[in-house]
This record gives sequence, structure tokens and C-alpha cells, in this order.
Amino acid sequence: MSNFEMSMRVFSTDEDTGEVTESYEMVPHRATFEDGVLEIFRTIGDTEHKMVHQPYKWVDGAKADWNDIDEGIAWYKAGTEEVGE
Amino acid sequence: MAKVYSYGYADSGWPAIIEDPRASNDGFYIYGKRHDKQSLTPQFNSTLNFSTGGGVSSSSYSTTASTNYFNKQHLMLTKMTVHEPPYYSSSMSYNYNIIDDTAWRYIDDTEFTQRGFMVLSDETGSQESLSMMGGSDSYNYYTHWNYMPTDETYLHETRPYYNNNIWQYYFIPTMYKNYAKDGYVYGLAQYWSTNSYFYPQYYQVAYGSGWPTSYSSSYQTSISGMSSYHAIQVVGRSTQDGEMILISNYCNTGSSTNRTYVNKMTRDGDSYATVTNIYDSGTSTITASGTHQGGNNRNGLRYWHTYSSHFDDPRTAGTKCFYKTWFDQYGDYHPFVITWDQSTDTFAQEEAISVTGDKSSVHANMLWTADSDNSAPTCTVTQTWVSNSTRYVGYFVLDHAQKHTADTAFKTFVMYEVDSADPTALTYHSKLEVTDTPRNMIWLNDERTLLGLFFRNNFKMYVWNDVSGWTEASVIGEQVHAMGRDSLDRIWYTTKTSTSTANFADINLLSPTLPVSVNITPELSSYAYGGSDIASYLDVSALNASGARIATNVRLVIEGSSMTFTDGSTTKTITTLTSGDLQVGTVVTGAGYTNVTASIEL
Repeated sequence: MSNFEMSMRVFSTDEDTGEVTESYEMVPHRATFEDGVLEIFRTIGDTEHKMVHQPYKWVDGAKADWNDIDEGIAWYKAGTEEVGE
Repeated sequence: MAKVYSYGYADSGWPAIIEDPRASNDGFYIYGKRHDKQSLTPQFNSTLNFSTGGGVSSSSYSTTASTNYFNKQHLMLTKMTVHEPPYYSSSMSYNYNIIDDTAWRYIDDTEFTQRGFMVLSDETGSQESLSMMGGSDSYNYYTHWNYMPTDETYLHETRPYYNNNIWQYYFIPTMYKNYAKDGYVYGLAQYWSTNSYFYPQYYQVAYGSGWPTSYSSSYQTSISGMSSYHAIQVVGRSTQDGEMILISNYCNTGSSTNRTYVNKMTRDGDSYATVTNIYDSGTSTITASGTHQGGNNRNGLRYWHTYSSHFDDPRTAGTKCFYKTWFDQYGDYHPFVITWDQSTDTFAQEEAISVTGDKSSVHANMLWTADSDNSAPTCTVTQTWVSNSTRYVGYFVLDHAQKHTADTAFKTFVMYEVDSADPTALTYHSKLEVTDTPRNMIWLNDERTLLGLFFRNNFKMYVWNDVSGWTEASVIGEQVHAMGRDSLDRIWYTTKTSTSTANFADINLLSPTLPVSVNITPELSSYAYGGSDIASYLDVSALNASGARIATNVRLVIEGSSMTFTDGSTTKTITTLTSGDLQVGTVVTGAGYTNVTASIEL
């Protein structure tokens, strides 16, 4: 297991007015790597969400095994581009 | 083309038309007041009330665009409806330049859901609620009806459960139909960032957590692997596990423009579906194969490009296939074939495409200059359709911001015939040339043989002809702000009213009985005249604006001296059939060219 943080845009909606505000926050993540399967979890507020379940990676259109958890986390960060939540 | 309703000042709180999306209910509301769906007769005491409490209030879905430039929901109809706001800037860097993607979002036609007003239901259809969504520059609005006493209960006989603002920075979110699960309803929204660059971007969205009784909370997040520059479309749901599959084109620069990226979105009891990347073609430069010269898509120049609708692969049972917009390094159109083996959810990209006849660069130079970072105001759309058992594929280039009005690539679109046994084998068929750059497009029948193009100053309809290709059939001589079809296949559109200086909408209806095209096909394309008369015939049909056959009077005139009608005349008025072609007898009486013209009697 590995914990990491990413800077992400976070929208907050005022329950009374519906007003939406946005801010950039460091969002905590957790990655697991069991039996070669990568899973990424993201925590917003008090709730953890499973964002990714990835049993393999792709290399030039073909499936391949992950080398390790760090490779999977780097792939997730590159694909998420640190925007939006 | 008839103006059905002129806007009045009391109408400012409503969309122009609301059609109840429930198949079991014929509610049809013009500016908030129910009309008989068939006859359009006004119904007394039937005004909508959007107050969730004890009061009375109109909606947040006004048609006005006086203070902003966004996709107001003029028409909330159940079939394809496209909004084309009048505002644009050729400087590109304004978010109102982003194109409404309704005409191509769904690769699976059966998943099509019209944004605006929709039924929310689970996979069994055993429970359902209604949801309306509309937008402005600041917010989207949404309204939920979570309980309708019966299917026959009209919307005006009850009141909504919840109204609120939601999801800033999105064009109208659209929820997947029959897809609610574990208290959540899921969907997809076009997103625009608050920075000054506008490229295709999408978010997954959801309501929850207690659907269908309590689901006022909203959720939004980017989709892993499909962030900035990824133009997402809905492939359809897996036949293996029922989960939705999304696909994207990368719309920035370089070899990544060749990339096809597929995600499965698994609902697991949470507000966010869990992403699994089930195919990534990679970012390698393409090797020359088939008849293309390889390289990167449109030589690696930035552009928004799409996938077509899918169809059964004629080569392999149980496999769907569809086209990916792709031009080689010299700008020649060779749309890749994407295959989807539905038994295993395995995707592949076939790049060896062969073109017989004209390559597209003979007619249009698609290596036009890219638009800085703003790839969302233009879009190159690939689509496929079938006419008389023959499949065709072609592309259309849209210029929402009107930056490319001098560029012929935005006015010349090339069409190919597809080999019946091999979707990678294409033969040049025809080109569609238009005089202005279209800002958006809409398919006006389910078969996609009737096309509408939104231009700056008018709207034109084109009918597909197997011989000559796309043929202009009708023109609306003013700017159209929205057009769509209701469940009866009537075509509605809105135009700016003269009643107000603001952009409120008048409502117009294309007459379903007005013919927009007449087809005349001789028994043979040529005859060998040997001195004796040859008995033959013409097949004649007339189509309305929806592409359906209609019975109407058509005046036929045979020009030249080598053919007459059976009775020896050269002029005849016939009545076409709704059941099929009308066969009109002719006689070839000599050698030479013959021309047959048709005119409509109105």
C-alpha cells in the first residue's frame, strides 16, 4: 500500500444558495497492489472512493503486467493530469 | 414551414417546448402550457408549476440568451435536438464557442438520451423518476420529480420534488437511461475549464445517494486517463456485466492524436464509477498501410475529432465495429476501424484502410492550421449510414466560432461507399460542397439519411441520394437557434422572436406533409436502341422532412426526343405512394439522351 497526495480542483456547493465555489486542494490518495492488480482510492471529506481498478497496463496496444505499484501510481497521475474533482 | 407560436412577454419563465419523456404520457407544453400533443390545441387549466413548496413559480429554463451566450434549452424534446446559440467569436478563446456534441456523443444508437428532460430508471425499468436539466454561463439547473402518482399523471398535475443549481462549468449533463443502481444515477457532461483555453473535456456526474426517493446531492469528477483534450463518447454498455463503456480521442498534438482509449465504468455502490482502462492503442506514429501514407492523425495537428456510430461487423459474428476519424500525414481521410468483441469486451484498432478512387485531398486540404489551444470550437465528425442496403461513411467539419469561413476544408466534405463484406475497404462516392462553414449539425431521421446543417444566416437540410450523394433539399432563410424531433417525428425549430429585443424564441414546425425531395430512378441507366420501341419504367418516390415516403402530386416532364410515357405523352402528373416506389411506364422510342425533371404541386 502507498499513500500520496495530488493537487486537485475541488468544487463546493452551498446547500442553501446553490452557489458553487472552487479551490485547489491537496487531495489524499491510497494505492494498493495485490496479485498484480492496481487500485487507487481518493478521499474527499470523510469519504474514500475507489477511482481505479487496473489489473494490467497497456504497451503499444497490448496488455502487460505492471512492474510495481510506483509505476501504477505514475500512470494514474499522468492520466488524471491533476485537474478536476 | 410554419410558425406555430410567437413569443409573448408572459412566456419568459419557460422553455419553448417541453415534451414529457415518458412513453406512456402525452404531455406536451408550449411555453409552460399544455397543448394536445397531436392537434396542438391549447388545454385549459394546465400551466406547469415548478414550485416545490406551496407557492407557484415558473422554471429556471427560460429561452432568453440576452445576458449570456450559452446553451439555453429552447426545445426539450425526446429525439435528437441540437442547440446552436447565436453567439460566437472567431478569436476562439471564449467558452461559448464550445460545440454542443449531441449529434455524435452516442456510438450506440440505442443508448441515445436527449439532454434536457429525461426519465431516470434502473436497469429493469421497475422504478423511474423524471429529471430536467438546463444551463447558463454560471450554473446548470436541475429539477427532479421523484414520484408520479400514475403514468397518466400529467406534469402540471403535480409539482417537483427538488429544484437547484448544480455543476458549474458544464454544458447540460445527460444521465444514462436505465442505469440507476444502488441509489445513484450516473451520466456524462461536457466540461469547460475556467482558464482561457477551450479543448474537449468531460466529467462523470452522478446524483445520489437515495434514488429514487432522495437524490438531491450531486457529484462530479474527471475520468482517469480521459482528462484534458480527451473527447469522450459513449460506446454502450457491456453485454458481459452491464457496465457503461466510454471511448476517447486525444485532441491535442503529436502522435497521441492516433490514440484510442477505452474505459469501463463500474458502478460499485459509490457516487463515482470505478474506472478500468480496457484498451489503449498507444501513441506510436502510424506505419503506412492500406492506401494511406501513415504518420500522425492530420499530421499531428490539433483538432477535435470523433468516432462514428457502431454497427455489426460483417466479418465476425458478435463483434461491433465503428470508424475513428483519421487523416494521414498528407491529409488523406482513412478512418480507422475500431472493433469491439462483445463476448470479451476486447477492443482493437485496424489501421490498414484502403481507398479506391479519389482520396479526400483531391477535394479538400484537411491540413488546415490548428487553433492554438482552442480545439473545442471546431469539430470533424465521422459518421456512417445505410441507404438501400449499402453502407457509407464520410466526414463533416464544423466551425462553431466561424474562424475558418475562408477555408475550403470547412466547406467540402468527402463521402465513401463501404464494401459490404469488409469495412476497411472504401470507394470514393461523392462530396458535399456548401457555401458557408456549418456551425453544427443534426440528424433529422433515425436512418441518418436526412442531415441538417446550422449556418450563420440560415439552416439547410440535405437528403442522401445513392447516386449523387448529399443533395440540398430545403432552406430555412434565417438563423435557427435550436432544432429537434419529438416522439411523433415532427421537426421543431426556434428562431429569434421579433417580439422582444432579447433572444427569446419563436416556435416553428416543419410540415410533415411537405415533400423535400423526389427520387426518380429509371429501370436501366442506359438502353440499347435497335430500331424498335423498348417498354420500360421509372421508379418515383417523394420524401418528407423526416425522410419518410409521402403521397403527393409530382409533375414529371421528359425532355428530349428519345422517350415518352406509355401513353405517348411527355408530361404527366402522378401521385407518389407511402408504401414504396411508384412505377411509371415509359417507352424508349429512339436514340439519344433523355432527361426527366420533377416539380412539386403545392
